[in-house]
Order: sequence, then structure tokens, then C-alpha cells
Amino acid sequence: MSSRRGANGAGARATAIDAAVVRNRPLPVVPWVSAMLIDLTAVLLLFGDAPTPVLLLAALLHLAALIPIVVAPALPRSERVLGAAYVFAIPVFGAPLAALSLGTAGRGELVEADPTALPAAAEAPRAEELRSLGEALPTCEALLAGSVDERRAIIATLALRADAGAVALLRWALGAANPDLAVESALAIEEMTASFEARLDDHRKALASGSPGRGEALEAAELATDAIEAGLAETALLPTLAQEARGYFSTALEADPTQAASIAIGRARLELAVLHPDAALEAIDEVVVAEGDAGSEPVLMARSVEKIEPAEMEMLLALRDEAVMATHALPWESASALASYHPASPPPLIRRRLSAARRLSGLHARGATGGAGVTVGVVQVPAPASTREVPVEKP
Amino acid sequence: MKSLEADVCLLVEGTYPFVSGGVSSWVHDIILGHPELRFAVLNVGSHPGAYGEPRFQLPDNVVGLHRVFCQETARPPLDGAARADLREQIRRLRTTVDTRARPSRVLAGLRRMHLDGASDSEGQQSILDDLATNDLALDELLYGRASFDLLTQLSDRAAAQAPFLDLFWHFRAIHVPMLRLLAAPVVPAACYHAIATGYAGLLAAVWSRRSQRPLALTEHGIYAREREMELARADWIREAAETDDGGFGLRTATWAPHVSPLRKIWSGFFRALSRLAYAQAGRIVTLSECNRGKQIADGAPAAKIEIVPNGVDLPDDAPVREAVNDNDAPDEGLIELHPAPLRVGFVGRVVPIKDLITFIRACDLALHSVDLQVRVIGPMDEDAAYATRCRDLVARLGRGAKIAFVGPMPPAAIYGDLDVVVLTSFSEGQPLVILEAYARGVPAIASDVGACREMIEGRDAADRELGPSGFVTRVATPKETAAALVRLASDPTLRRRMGESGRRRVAAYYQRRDMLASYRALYAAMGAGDPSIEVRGVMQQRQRGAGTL
Repeated sequence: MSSRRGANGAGARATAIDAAVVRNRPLPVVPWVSAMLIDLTAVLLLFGDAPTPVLLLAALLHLAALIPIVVAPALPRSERVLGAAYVFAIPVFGAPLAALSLGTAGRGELVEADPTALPAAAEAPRAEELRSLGEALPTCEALLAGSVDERRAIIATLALRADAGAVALLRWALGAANPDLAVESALAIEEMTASFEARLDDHRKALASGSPGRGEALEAAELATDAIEAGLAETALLPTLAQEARGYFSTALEADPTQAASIAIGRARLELAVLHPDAALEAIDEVVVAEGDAGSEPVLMARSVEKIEPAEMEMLLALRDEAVMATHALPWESASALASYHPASPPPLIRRRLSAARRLSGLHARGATGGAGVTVGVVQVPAPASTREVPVEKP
Repeated sequence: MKSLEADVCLLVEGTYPFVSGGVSSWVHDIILGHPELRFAVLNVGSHPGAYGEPRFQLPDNVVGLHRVFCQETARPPLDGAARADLREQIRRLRTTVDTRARPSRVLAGLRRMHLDGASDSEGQQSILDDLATNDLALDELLYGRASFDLLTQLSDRAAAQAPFLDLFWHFRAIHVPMLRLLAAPVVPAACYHAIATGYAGLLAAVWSRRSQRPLALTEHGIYAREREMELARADWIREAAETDDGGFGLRTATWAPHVSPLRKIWSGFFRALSRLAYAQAGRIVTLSECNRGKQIADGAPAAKIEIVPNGVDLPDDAPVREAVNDNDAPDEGLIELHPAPLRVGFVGRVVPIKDLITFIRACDLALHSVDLQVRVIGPMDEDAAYATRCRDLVARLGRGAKIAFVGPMPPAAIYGDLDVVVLTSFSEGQPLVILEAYARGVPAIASDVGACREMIEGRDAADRELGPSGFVTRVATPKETAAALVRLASDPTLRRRMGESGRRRVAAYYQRRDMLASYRALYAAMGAGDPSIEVRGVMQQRQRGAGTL
């Protein structure tokens, strides 16, 4: 699904950090203040040339500072013991320190994901994993022939992945002769769809309730894009949903123009998912420009002064490759809007290096041809916009 | 309500009389259909307050409605001194519960349920004898050393890969409801009739064992399998995080599916409950041939199983009058055909398991080709979020003028205004809706679940000779449902023929009087019934039809 989510979520390395969580129940104030005031009185007595009785009195006062803690009814026993230890060991400052330490609770979660940590590098597979890989049935066969537990585990895994391939496989399983498999697959698809719709509704409400920020709008747009890519969006409502997502991308861009590159990536994915590769190219070309002669490797340059991260640039290049290939699909290869929803449709080619497309580098330099078409060998390829009739709608 | 000993104690889980639906309607019908018998109803609920007011008016021959709950009402979290007090109480309890002289037989039964796997009928009955002693207090389960030992055995032998803390809490969640049910006082009755396996089936089996009264079991769906399907999607069973696999993506690798040991323990538990009920029941009734096969596979003795399909009354005012624009129509037994648009009905609760979304999509697709007037008939308050989702989908598709949500209606008022009934459920037993539609000469389009296929296409050669009485579609396939709708809308002859064959099918195989006769014989064989009992008003209630769909 979204590359953004993958980088921050699942791949984050677990690092030992102290996760302080504000405690739920209120901490009583009186015992701590009383203890501190008594201790302060004792300290004041120590100023100057204090005689022995005064020293003794100060010591007694310090011990008396324990009393408000020890008798505090609102504190459980363990907290009273801890507080008393603090107050006894650290005059004056013991009480506030104890209150501070009791005011936060780690809830035992000493190990939490550190959001700033780099994603963990994938480890090499172990021998037994390679062996299972070699012996494993293809997923579709395993769905048909595996045990009930394995079948359910596979369906749960596919639901967890929720990408286009997983959804396609689940849709394929709807036609299985085994009615249990069909029903379980149908339920998995239904739950994924319901989850998507519920999350999108939440975003809609949040966006409608106030002035939307870039984050909220971009998340809504990417969620809609993910659902369209995966084939979870309602087929009959694809044009409407795509239009809605375009609006969210625009909102995100208005809110933060410096994020134009990441927004362009999302827009390009959306347009590719709804079979508008020409619009995907336009979205990409708004932030980058392809430079280079026909026949040589093109170089994408940022149009504006804002810096584009290398990872973003790589993604833009991959998307551009895919869009270029899609714009030149021959008419009899082209699909209707249903193709993005149909189980037979292949997953997006994002992240795949389309070496063939890269070799036809002249196709990348759309700006150089002025959108009028290019010549590849003896073949005159018309301009992208005229190569395919998209039956859904015009963006 | 009279406090008489009942002839039959019906044990249901979560349904009658608090939830409307097929099983509840069936229970209501069984009670009304046996006015000579006194019934007690035991409802096993999840927790107090989970259900609202009864949806059915209890007939006069119900002498008691009893309720037991798997969980008590959730208490607010304790704070400060109260928590310290509780800790002290638990400490004292621990020392008390570990001083018992003899080991608990209930714990021994639980151990065999979990660790000995499927055993023969005698083994199951021996487990029931152990459970029937009810010699394990809740405190002993929660804080006793012996129960902790069972937990560690379970961890070693059945869930070595599961986090022990997770297993600890699941162990409690599995067994606390059991102990609460085992502690429930027996409702005296001449015989017990469980309307599912599961918790109700367990309680019925234990009571039957304790009182030495016979037990019959009727399964509409297959309880253990329905629970397994829920478990497969349950998000309250925590899986290891996606990153716990060393970065190789094992959790998301379909070639190395991760079978959760906790899910296996839960599903093994529900299967064990089914085996206990199957072992104790003298007769097991199922609705269809396909369910019979599943029960046998799950451990039910084939010799005990009897198929008694649901049944409906054939109306006296059968809608057989004349054909419209059909020269090939036979001379008699014709169903009146309504001119366009085709009147399509979805009759049932608006809940996810009915997959109303697929129905709406199908209608939207079909409306591109033919004119339809669609009505969704059934309660919408059981899952308000889902109902809203369905309404939103209709609105976004712009089909508000064609697809109407009309809410619940009495069964007698539903089918006269429909040309076809559609069921797109993910799960069904033997839906009464289809039979009620057939009785009025209305064909059905249904997904291929439960007994729908044999109800539409026929279950044996003689049945199949009557011809199909509708269309069977794959689950969650709006395209197929839409195609069937278009076919019926554009071919009135086919529609009439299918409606007619549905009515003949009901007359031959699904008559209410036949179903009631089967159960009357079943109850008589179990020693229930006292002809001297006077029950007034039951027949009148039956005529009124207390429940609504």
C-alpha cells in the first residue's frame, strides 16, 4: 500500500526507550506539599550556628515530614513506601521528586518502537525458511488443498496485506468449489472494504469539521488511492472517489506547497489506478522535468527550488516509467475502468524497473516532444493523450 | 407466569426471545405449534444488558423464561485503597483455594477436553460427568495453583509458540463463562432441547446428565464452524507484530502461513463443546443434508442424526389466478404476474452476515438493464453502523428512488407485493424467508450457502424433478445476482414457472405441519407431554403471528 506507511510503521526498529505515560488517576497534592514544607522548616532551623537541640529538632522535623506521606489514605501501600523513601533520603526535594515519579507510569512498556530509528534491515532467510519456501504450494493451491487452519491463516495473511495481489487472490477464491473457502474469502474482502470505508468516513468528517491541514488531506487522498489500487473501492463509484481524492491532493498542496513531490507521487498513483496515465504524467511533470537527448538515459530534475529527496525522485522516476508504458498501451490491450477492479488486473508496476521503458528513453522526454508524439524506430507513436480512450471520466 | 415444571426446556444462545431472526422465529413457531406442551426457555446471554426488551411475546404455554450470562457486568476499574484491598483479598484467596483436599473433577474434565483430543462417546460422557460435579469455584479457577498447572500444561502442549501472558488471559476468557454456566441452577423439565451446541449445548448436556432427563439437539447452522469463521477474523486475538519475524516478512508470507495457537485453542474448545453435546443428545436434528455431513465430520454419530427441514404453512388464498401476456401459460395453477417494474425484496435483518452490500450492488447493476422496485424489509437497529453504510451506498449510487428501506413488517404482509426474493447472505441455515416466499409463489435468488442450493434446485432426484425455483449464485458476486434479476425481470414465464415450482416444493417437502409432527414425535419419544394441561390462547396467538420480520 502506501510506501509512506511502510517506512514509518512496520519497519521501525524496536529500541529500548523510556515510554513515560501520564498516569490516569489523580495524585493527591496535600501529602507532598506538607512533607516539603516540614522539611523546609527543618532546613531553615539549620541556618546559622544551630545548637544541638535545634539540630535534634531539625532531625525530628525531617522524620515528621514522612508522616503526611505514610498516612495518606489516597495512596496505595507501595506508593506510600516509595514516597517515604524519597522524602527520607532526599530532604526537601524528595517529596516533589516522588510526586514526579509517581505522576508518570511506564505501564511496563519499557520497549517501544522508536519512531526515529531507521527501518531494520531485512535479515537473510534461514535454512528452514528457504526449505519451506521450496516445499510450499503456490498460494492459490494452498488455499484449495491446505488444511482448514492453513487456509484461514492464508486468508488472514492476505487480509493483512490488503494489496492488489491479495485482493485479487481473494476474489479468485470466491469462485472456489469449496463453499467454506468462498465464504471466508468473501468475509475477508467485506471486512477490508468496511474498514476502508470507515476510515475514509473518519477522514471526511475530520476534513469537514475544520480547516484541513496537509497531513489529514494527504492521508485521506492516499487512503482512497490505496483502495482504488487494491480493488477495494466500489466499482460504480470509482470516478466519484477519484475526483474526491484529487480534491484532497489539491488541498494538501495548498496547505503545504513544499511537499509537492510527495503529493505528486500520490496523484500519479491515483491517476494510474484509474487508468489516466496521461494525467499521471502531468502530475509528475509539474514537479520534475526530464532532461536529456532521445536515446540516452533521461535525468529528472526538480522544477522548483525545493529539494526532492532521493527516494522521492526514485519513486517519481518509476511512476513515470509506468505512466509512459501505460499511455502507449495498444487499444486492444487497454482495459475499461473495471480493469483496476477486476481480479485479473495485474498489480501496479511501481517499484519495478522497466528496463524496456528505460531503453526507450525518448519516450520519457515528453516535454522535448511537445506532447505531439515521438518516433521509436520506424513506429510513430502518437501523443499520450490521443493513444487511449478512457471511458471513465476526464479528470 | 406459572411456575410449573416444564415438559420441554429449550436452551438457546443469544436468540429467542431477545433477538429477531430465523432461529428465534423458528423457536417461537415450535412453542406455538405445540400448545399441549409446557415450555421453559433458557437464554444464554453474553452479559446483563446485552439485549434489550424481548422481540417476541411469549406464548401462554411458556412457563418460565430463565437467563444465564457468560460474563457479569463490567465493573469500573478500582483505584487507590480499593485496589489495595482487592490485592489483599486475592492473596488470602490464594492460600484458601490451594488447601482443598481432593483435586477438582471439573479441572480434570477441562484438561481432557483440551489435551486429549477427540475421544469416543463414553469418553465425552465421562467428561460431562466431571463437569456436572461443578466442584470448581470461580476463585479456584482464577487464583488456584491447580488451574495454573493446567494452564502451563496447555502452554507446553498446545500453545508453545503463544505468549504466555496472552494465553493466561485467553485461558480465563474461555473458562470463566463455562464455570458460570455450570453453576447455574437446573431448570426442571421432562426433557431438554438445545437449539445449538456451544454454551447452550454444554449446559443442556450437563443438565441432562445431572437430571438423567433426555436431551435433543437441533442445529440450524453448525455452531463450531460459525465460531471458527469468527475466530479467523477476530482482532481480539493478538498476533505477534509484523516485525517479529526477523524482517523476512513471515507474517505476511502466504507460503508460510502462521497458524495462531491461540485461535487453535479457541476453535478446539468450541469443537469440544459440540462433541459433548453430540455425545449426550439422544437425537440430533439438522435441517439439511449438507449440514448432516458437517455434523458427522465434527463427531456426531450418524445414527442419531435426523433431517427435519423447516416448514411453513401454505396459504389458503394461493396466488394462482392468471397469466399476463403469456400465451404458453398452462390453464391452471397460474401465478399472477405483476407488470414492470420487477418488485424485488430483501427480507432479513440488516446486518453484515446478510451481505446487503452485495444485494445493493446487484440491484444497481441490474437497474442499468431493467426496471426494478427494490425493498429492504427487516429490522435495522441491530447494527446501526452497517445500516448507515448500506443507506449511504444507496444514496451515493443515486438509487434512493428505486431502493427503499421499509423496516420490519409482519410476514403475512411481505410477499404479496414481491415478485422475487433475494438473499445474498454469507451464512444461512435453511432460511425461512425462502420457504415463505415459495408458499406465495415467489421465486428466490440466493447465495450458495447452507441449504439454499437444495432448497432452490432440489435435494434429491424427485425434488429436482420439480424444477428450479430460483437461482443460486456465488457469495459476494453482485454480477451473478444482477444477471439472475435481469433474467427474471425479462422472462415472466420463467418467473412464473419458478414460483410455481417453489410452491410445489413447499407442498411436498417443507410443510409446517410435517415439521411440527416430527417434533411432536420427538418430544413424545423423550417423555414430554401431558394431555391434561390446559393452555388457552395459544392457537389464537399463532393466528395473530406475534413476531415480525
